[in-house]
Amino acid sequence: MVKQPHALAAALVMVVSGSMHLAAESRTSVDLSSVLGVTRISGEAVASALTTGKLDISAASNPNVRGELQLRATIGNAAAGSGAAVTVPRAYLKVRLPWFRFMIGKSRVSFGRGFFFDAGDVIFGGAGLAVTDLSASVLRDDTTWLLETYLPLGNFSYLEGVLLPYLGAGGVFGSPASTSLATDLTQVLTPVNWRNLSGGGRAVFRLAGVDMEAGYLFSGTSGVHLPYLAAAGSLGVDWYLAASATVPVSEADWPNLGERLAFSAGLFHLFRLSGDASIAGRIEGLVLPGGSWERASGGITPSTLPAVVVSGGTAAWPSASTVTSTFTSRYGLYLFPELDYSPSQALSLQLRSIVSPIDASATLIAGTGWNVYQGLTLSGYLYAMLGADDATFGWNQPGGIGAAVGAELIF
Amino acid sequence: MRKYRMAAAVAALTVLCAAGASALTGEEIIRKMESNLVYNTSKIEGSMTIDDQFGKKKSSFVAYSEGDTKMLLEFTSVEERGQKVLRIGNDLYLFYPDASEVIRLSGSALRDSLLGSDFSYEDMTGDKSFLEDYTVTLDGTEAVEGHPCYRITLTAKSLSVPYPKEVVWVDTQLFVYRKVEKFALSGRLLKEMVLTDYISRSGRNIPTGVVMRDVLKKGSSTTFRIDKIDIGIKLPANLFSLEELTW
Repeated sequence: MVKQPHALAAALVMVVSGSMHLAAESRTSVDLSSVLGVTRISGEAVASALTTGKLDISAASNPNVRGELQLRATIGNAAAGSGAAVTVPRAYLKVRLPWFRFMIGKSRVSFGRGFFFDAGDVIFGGAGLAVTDLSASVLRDDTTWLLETYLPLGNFSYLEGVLLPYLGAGGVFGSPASTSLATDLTQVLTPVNWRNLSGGGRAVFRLAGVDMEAGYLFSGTSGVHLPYLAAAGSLGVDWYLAASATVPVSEADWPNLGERLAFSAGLFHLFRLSGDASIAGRIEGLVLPGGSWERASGGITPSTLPAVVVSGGTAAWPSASTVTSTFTSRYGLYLFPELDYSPSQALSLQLRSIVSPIDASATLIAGTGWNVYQGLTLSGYLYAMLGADDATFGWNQPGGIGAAVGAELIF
Repeated sequence: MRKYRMAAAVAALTVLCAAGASALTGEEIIRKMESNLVYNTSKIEGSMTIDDQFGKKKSSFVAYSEGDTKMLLEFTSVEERGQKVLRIGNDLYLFYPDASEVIRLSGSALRDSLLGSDFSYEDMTGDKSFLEDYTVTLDGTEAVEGHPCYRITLTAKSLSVPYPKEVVWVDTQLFVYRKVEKFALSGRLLKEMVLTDYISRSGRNIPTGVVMRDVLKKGSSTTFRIDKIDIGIKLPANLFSLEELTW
């Protein structure tokens, strides 16, 4: 556990050592984390280990030009489900011109509002349930290749457009992020039919003290239009909500549009206790009117949006019923409660859960983080799935119960 | 105490104003301090160092301000690098680069701790005097390390503040604090803040070093330091905007 991060860091440094000396004004940071866990798979208790190294190099030599290259290497055993992989989560250039700015490369644009559930995130999906690490400080950080333009319209308003040549399925349920450098290379080396390009934009503005956002995305991969609205404000507690529709290109099927709507909402409140202690509570909900509102016999297996079929250069968009099935293959309601207690500057206790009320199941994680030394955080977590065998979070699923300890060092 | 403490953490801005001090009430002394926290424009590079039994943990930042309603703060230490805080009037926005996400802070979230320190995001909001949260009692004058000071007791009007009671010693000549004691609801002393250094520039006395000691934790302290400050500089017109926050 000690040698592994150092070897990983050395490997990452070697990868970029050729470029580092050329960029004297670049800033470099390394994030190493190792986790050792015990979980249950196929009725047996198994141990697993996962080490991740992230090297980030950002250019800061010019106030109007920025660039960032981020490499991530992951090493884990089979129980951790990762193997070994190197990915490039971010590699982009940002350029600011007098009237607008643009960004090109691999990065992230966050549409909508929400911490875990965000029906307005029509690019990466804010309605998915597959989170690999519920203990992470950032739960949604997927990236993709994009061309972004940004037109500021005052202090609080702007227009933003995006072109996404290699977007996965897109839509509110998102799609799995790239898991290897080879996948990234395959994407950029494979010509994309123009009908499969994805793109859209959003307008962000303030109305009567409420932050408003209206946007649209066309997913060329899935053949759907994705308009959405989002808002955020405060009424004693902070609130935010988002709504989106999924409209198939092949057949709008307006009468049944309600079955392809998604809504998310959240409340957040923080209590500052005596001294530097605080406790924060959050509750988010995801509502899919077209989802199942009764417990399904045999359980529900969520699937992502169907991808368009391309044959001989002609794209075949999926039918409305096919798209609708991606909604009906989920339950109509999910919840995300979170409680975070920080008794001191260096210690935090956290409780998070994803709840599926309709089939009475939940995944629960309780843990603690301790910032011991400069850049070092030690953590420990217990997690469990609580539900019947065929529930969304069935207790006997692989990894359905376990414990983990870990350490993270940023330098 | 909010603006008062924010001065220690980020701005550390006070103005020399001694004339007529002896006739001031406690509220007037506090208002003088608050009114002295404003510059036309400024750029500050500073740091916060937490020192405990496990060693030192340091966070650094650069902050730009314009008047008392605009501020942009960017963390430069490696752990928080790229995280930004934008304040325009009473609006506060956070930017997290990993999530590429802008979060607007309002209501209760403004009370969250800034960098895990004693200072909250609410400390950065303008217009609201901490006199709204505390009743002020001028106890008299006392010397702190040889410096004559007003001794002022602040008693919270509600439980929405971190410390129900604070006692502040304000230099009668410089109108900067020399010492602050923070108490729990039970009356137990929790923390002590001491001014360690200041500079005089453009007729102002600017605290550049403050140490906060946790009385309950032996050997634990937090040091705020301003390493560089520029006042009256020209700032870009769009510096205080969501565009700059996400840049």
